[in-house]
Amino acid sequence: MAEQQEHIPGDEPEQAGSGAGRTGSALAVARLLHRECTHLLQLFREKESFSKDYTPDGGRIVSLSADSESSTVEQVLLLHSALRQCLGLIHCVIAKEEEEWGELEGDYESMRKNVRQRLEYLLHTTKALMETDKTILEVTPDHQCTEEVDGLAGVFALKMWTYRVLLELVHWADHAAQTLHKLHSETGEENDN
Amino acid sequence: MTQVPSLKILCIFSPVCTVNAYRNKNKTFFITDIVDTMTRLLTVMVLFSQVFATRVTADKPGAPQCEPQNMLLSNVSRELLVTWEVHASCASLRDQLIYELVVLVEDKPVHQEEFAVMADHIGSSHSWSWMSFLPLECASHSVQIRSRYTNQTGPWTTGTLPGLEPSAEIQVYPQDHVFEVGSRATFCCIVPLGKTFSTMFLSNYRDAPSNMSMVNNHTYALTVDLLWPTLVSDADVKCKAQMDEGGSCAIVGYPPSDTDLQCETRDFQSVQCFWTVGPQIFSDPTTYWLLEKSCNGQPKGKCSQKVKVNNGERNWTLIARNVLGSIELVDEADLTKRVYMYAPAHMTVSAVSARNVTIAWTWTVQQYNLLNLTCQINLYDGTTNIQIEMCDIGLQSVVLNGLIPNWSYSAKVQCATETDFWKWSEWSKSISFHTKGDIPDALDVWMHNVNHQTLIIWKLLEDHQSHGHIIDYEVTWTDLAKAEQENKICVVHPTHSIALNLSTFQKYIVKVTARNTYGSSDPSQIFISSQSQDPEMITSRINGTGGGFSLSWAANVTASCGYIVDWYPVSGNSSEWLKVPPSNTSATIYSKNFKDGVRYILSVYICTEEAPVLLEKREGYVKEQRIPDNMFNNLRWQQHASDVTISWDQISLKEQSAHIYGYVLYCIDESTVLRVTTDDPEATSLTAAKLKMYSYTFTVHALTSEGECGLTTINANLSIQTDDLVSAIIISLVTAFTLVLLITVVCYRSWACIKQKIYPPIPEPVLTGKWLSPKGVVPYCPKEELPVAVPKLHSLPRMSNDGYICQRDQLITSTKIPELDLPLKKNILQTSSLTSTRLNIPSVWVGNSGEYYPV
Repeated sequence: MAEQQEHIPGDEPEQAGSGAGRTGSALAVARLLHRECTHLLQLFREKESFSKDYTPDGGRIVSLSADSESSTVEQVLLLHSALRQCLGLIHCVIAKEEEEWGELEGDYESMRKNVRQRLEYLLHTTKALMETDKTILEVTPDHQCTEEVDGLAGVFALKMWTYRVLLELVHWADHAAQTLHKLHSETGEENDN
Repeated sequence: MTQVPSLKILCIFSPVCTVNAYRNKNKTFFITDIVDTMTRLLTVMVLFSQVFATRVTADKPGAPQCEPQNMLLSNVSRELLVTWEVHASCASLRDQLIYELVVLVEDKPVHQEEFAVMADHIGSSHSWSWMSFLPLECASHSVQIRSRYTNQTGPWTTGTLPGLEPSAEIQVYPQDHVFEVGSRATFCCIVPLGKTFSTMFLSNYRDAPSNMSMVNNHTYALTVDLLWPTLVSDADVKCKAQMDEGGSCAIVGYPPSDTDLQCETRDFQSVQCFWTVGPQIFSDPTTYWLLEKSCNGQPKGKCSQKVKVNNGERNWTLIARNVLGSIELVDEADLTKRVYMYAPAHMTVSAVSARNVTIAWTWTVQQYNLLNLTCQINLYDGTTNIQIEMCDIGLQSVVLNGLIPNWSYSAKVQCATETDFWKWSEWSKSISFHTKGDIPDALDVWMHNVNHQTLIIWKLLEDHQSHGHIIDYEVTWTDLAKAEQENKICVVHPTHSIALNLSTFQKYIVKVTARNTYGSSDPSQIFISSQSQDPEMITSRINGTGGGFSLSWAANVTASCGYIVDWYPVSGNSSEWLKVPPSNTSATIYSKNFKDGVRYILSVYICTEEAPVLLEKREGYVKEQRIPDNMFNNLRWQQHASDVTISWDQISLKEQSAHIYGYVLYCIDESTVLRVTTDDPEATSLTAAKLKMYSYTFTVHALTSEGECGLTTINANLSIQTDDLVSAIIISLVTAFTLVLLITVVCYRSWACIKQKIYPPIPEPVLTGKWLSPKGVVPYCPKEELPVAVPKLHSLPRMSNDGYICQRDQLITSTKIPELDLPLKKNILQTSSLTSTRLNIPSVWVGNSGEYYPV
């Protein structure tokens, strides 16, 4: 697959200007991440001959007790936490897959790397967006690779777990886009007022 | 005990019974026919033997002390391992003890085997292993075993290794197993209780023959023929039960198949081996051990280990191993005869002179100093590589001779053992050096006669001949008749010719030397004599080939120093030359100055102790070119009556881009083309005869090997020439005058007769009166005829044969109207009256009334 380069608005989150501008940048990154996660999942399905209809058991890997009545800012903070766990998962997937099959250089591996970097960037973006003197946000992966994966029996189980992780990434990237869109809308209204 | 076998026997001999039993459970039956047959046969054998054995045991107890005790079944590396012990008293047996074993999968016998224990091994614990076609996790595997000693058998002892029970998730076995290409693998799927099996298949793998069967209520088996290796990704066995999915990965590959092990040493302290690497298993590459030491981290197909290399042959062993097996490659060799030397190190250059240099190096391995070595020195002079080979014990330096002075070189060295040549070492690093300068090489001198002068020319020395910067040239010439008188002139470089005014009647010797900062070259001399030229020599034609000329000549005994081939363009003032040794009588000459369409004069001279003697002279083109149009200069025409001569100026050789074999003239008028040719290449005119007085276009072409070319055109209007016309008119007039005069004379002399004939005298009317006319005289007429009629006053005009109309004695002429000629004659003859409008006939006055009547 030919390598594509896209322009990402707000390439320097630390220097972002107004609130609306920064949330707009974060929203754009989240949407791009969602698109890349979806593509990564598609590449994985093609590589491993998984049916598109198949949904593995096990429910959500990353789950947060989000209160439906919580404010948008609180939702973004929860989202940041979820994205950190997602980053931990993609780190773990990369480590386990490279351990099993070595460092390959196919389309899947290339997109996997893209997703990891984009997720890291989104974490930096949301941190810059939400961090205050009272709220300190981390951007490091929040997942111990040994927790779940060591319990997996066999390579096939690793594939199934990877599949779940990729579905999880798609879900949370979509969730990030929605939440940041909501924040962006509210920030825009405030600015208008 | 006896009832169960009998029930089984009934079922075994009745497939319908078995099938019906499964159908009653609404399950599909997939066991293959072969397995069925084997199972039934084994069951029959086992059950009969059990029945029989039971009877024997009951009737006659055998060796009860040797019955298996503490029997254990376990899964060791997918193999069914059976271990048991025997009573210590059994050790007293003198003959071998036989154990009969029967394996049952899900209570169906699938394998039977006898296990012999030699007398000296009796008394200890025993083990037996067997690879089941089905993963041990998939179904219960039972083993029945009994002892037999001297036809006495003991009772059956049974042990069971149960398969895995269904769990909450789908289980597929074996997990992550590596299979050999070409093997048949059986995978099983254990479906969770309450779930309905859907399907089981192999994905991520090329098409493979497969067969699915049911092992028990919740276990299904998929048997696949694995015909292809998995190259970049493992294959997946997937099992689906309703919405659940489980699976396992499988890798298919080859056991090691590396070949061609070859070992050598570089330093006598280690061995280095190479081999051809066979196919690798995806994700599980083959590992290697050389001399029982791992080769991990070393390049593919190559491994070296430290070992002291001594004289004598020995085995050098490499073990290649992967999960499917291992192989051992052996190379039997004396490595002291397989020395792959390291490249010479620390290259140095010393004793650099104009033509010699010494190159030296050192060895990084001390043992090399004791070896008989052969070394290749590669000398590069900027354009070519020269290789020099030298041999010696522990060779460490060479002297290079015959180098070009003032020249840059680079040299590198590679060596090998001379006695037991194995292979060349790598090349050493290159070392560069520059030789010292020297006097120039002798010049190559020649002469060329131009405009009554003798041009002395020499070739500029090339870099490898000048040996330093050329400053100038010294030319001396001496009249051999006045040997004491030497003329000298200095020519500054890069001029490389000088014109001398030498007498054509004298012999001269001319010497030329080149001078650089290191001195003057040896003089090159040439004798100049009039015999060098022969203007009468016939020049023959030569055709160029391949961008040059190939010419040969007859050998000449006087050619003491060979021959000189000299060539120059007909339009040029300088020449080039080639000196040919006496043994050669042919030469192929090329020059960067050669051009197509240019005529060259080539001369072959005999090189003698004195002046060169012209042997042959030729002329030709490297490649002829079509002569461009309008080549003919001053094209003109001249008419001679009906002949026309077309002329042109002589065509110079310079203008001829091809040999001219002749000329052709085309005379073209409106309807015809006349072609006139000549095969005389020296012709300067062509004549076309008997042309009509029309307008013509004359085109002249030269005939060459390229066809008719050089087209030049001229137009001309041919007409009757004035002189001829005047002559014709005068002749006509004179003729006419003479004729008239002659007629006049004749008429005069015969006038009376003529008058009598055409105008006889009119008799006078007989009248009386005064006015009577005088008597007329009647002239003599030889053929006088008497008038027969009285002339009438009015008579019709009479037309003569030439168209003239006569009226009485008058000759009446009329304008000739060609188109009216005949009708007029007819009218005249047929019509009695004529009108003056049709025929302009002078009127004759009749009467005096002022009226006239045309007659």
